[in-house]
Amino acid sequence: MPLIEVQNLRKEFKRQKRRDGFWPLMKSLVYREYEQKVAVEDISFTIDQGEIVGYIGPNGAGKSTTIKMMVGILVPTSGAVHVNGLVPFENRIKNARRIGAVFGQKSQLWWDTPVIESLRLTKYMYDIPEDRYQQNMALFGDILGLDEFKNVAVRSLSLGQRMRADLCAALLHDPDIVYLDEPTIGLDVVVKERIREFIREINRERGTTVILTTHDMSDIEKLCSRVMVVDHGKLMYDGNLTTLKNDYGNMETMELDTEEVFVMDDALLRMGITSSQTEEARTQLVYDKKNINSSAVIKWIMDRYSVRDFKVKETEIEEIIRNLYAGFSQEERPRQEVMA
Amino acid sequence: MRYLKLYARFIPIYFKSKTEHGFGFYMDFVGFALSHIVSYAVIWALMSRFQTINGWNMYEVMIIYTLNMLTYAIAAVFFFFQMNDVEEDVHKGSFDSLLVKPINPFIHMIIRSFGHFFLGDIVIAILMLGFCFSRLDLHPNLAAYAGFVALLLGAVLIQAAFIVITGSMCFWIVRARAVMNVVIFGIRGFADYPISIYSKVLRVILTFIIPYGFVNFYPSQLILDKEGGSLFVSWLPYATPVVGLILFFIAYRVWNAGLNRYQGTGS
Ligand SMILES: Nc1ncnc2c1ncn2[C@@H]1O[C@H](COP(=O)(O)OP(=O)(O)O)[C@@H](O)[C@H]1O
Ligand SMILES: [Mg+2]
Repeated sequence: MPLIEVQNLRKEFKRQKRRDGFWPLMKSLVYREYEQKVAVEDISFTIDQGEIVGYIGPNGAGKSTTIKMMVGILVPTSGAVHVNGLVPFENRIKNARRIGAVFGQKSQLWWDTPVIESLRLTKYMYDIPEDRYQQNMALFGDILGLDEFKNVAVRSLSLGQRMRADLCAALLHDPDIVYLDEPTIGLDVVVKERIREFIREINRERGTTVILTTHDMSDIEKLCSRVMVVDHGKLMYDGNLTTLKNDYGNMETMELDTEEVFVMDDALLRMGITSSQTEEARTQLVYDKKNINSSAVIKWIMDRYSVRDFKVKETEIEEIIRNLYAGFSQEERPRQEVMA
Repeated sequence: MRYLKLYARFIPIYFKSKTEHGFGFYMDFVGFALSHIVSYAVIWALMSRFQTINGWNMYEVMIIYTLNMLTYAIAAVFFFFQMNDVEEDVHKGSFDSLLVKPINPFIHMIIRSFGHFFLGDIVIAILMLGFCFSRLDLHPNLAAYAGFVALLLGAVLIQAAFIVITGSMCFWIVRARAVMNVVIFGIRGFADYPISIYSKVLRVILTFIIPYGFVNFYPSQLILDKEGGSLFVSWLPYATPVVGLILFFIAYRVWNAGLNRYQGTGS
């Protein structure tokens, strides 16, 4: 049985139109206006023990909402979530003992409390045995570098420090699953790397299942074997990263600086160039790797232009995802057509 | 039991972090308590002029006032700032942190903070009660003390219930607490004096609708042996503990309804 099972999950928000001031407030007690918003629409997937799954999508796509339903914070409008065989919102407390969660910028720790005390409170709250607590503190403290700020109150921590403290707290009780909602948002590269290392280590050593949302594609590239892409509440892609790259990532960009003004030609289109863009002296030619005769292209160009500079760039994962979104939001075209 | 143990872990940490603020921490007690001196002065001025109102003398009125203050302060120690924090959490979107922990959020809400501000009130109230009792030459026996404690607990539950109910409004309406607080604070103010002095309508409200009468007026009838002055039915003075339990239960249901709403089960 998979560890997490999500079936036809849907979440609608009935959002009350906001009012401020005394009379509008009194009025809203009696009469309310609502706006409906579908945040998650018919999402299904399963996740097995030990996976690291990247859950990505643009802002407002429904990532956090999905995670909150898996954690048991939110109740689905319809559909079902099972985690460890439990329905999270019905067994929230039981479920909470077996999971850890970190939500972006909002700390799960106690605001006025020094980090070390906060972690100790976590120990009591989860009934973590003393020796296990010590072991985990030694391991986590080391990777996350907690020592430098362990006596500082949570509210005075920098963003990166708070994230490290939160990660530690979320994993102290050896959860089966950890949900990380934007764990690297707003952090500098060094801290990001540290956090990635921690996630890898926990997954390798403890077999902890990790579900993380992120905007940072290098998080995905460095951590996740599996990616799920959501947009407008719908699951658009679910598969491994290599397939995603193979299916959508065959595009390359040729970048040239020419003396003469570059003019696009039908001949190039016939050779496999799919699009071109020229800005002053710099031209970008985009094509499908599998579908091009590059030496012919280069020869054709060299024959006609004097080329000052020449570069070939593989499409980056950001680009791939962007292309995915672009394709989806125009209308739901079949995958093959997206890049065509 | 588990909750008490957890509470015992939280409280020292709370005090440690507060006492670090040094002088300000001790001023918290004093500042809050000073405002009551004014109220006592008003009662004194009023009562030295009229001797009794509605058959209640100065020390008895002071006891009424003090019971309202004492029971509110005790309830506030556990609920006032705690419910404030909840509203702020809901507003900022950080309330989720109470829902990912393996503990009833209601308990978590209570134990993660402590209303040390109100400790000063409690001290003043106890001193004032002792003072008034001695002036009235009351010498309660053990059984009377036990009864008194039961009444007090009931009254604390009533006060707590209203803090929880008004605080829980934040799950439905943005910034509702401020409005509700003004309403409740005003109504609670009526209970600073014996409610028998008010009009019939107010008495009904304070007994059956927003029953602050049970916080101090009815219990005082019993404690001070006020015969004949009973309102409505004669057993009301005994009802405080039951009223407290019922109201607190309702408050807990309101809190839970608020939670359900937060989690999006409708309502
Ligand atoms: N509590 C809420 N009430 C109303 N609308 C919400 C609430 N939470 C999220 N939404 C809306 O649902 C959509 C999905 O939000 P979210 O899951 O936070 O997206 P993401 O995490 O992918 O950025 C957004 O349009 C957001 O405005
Ligand atoms: Mg989000």
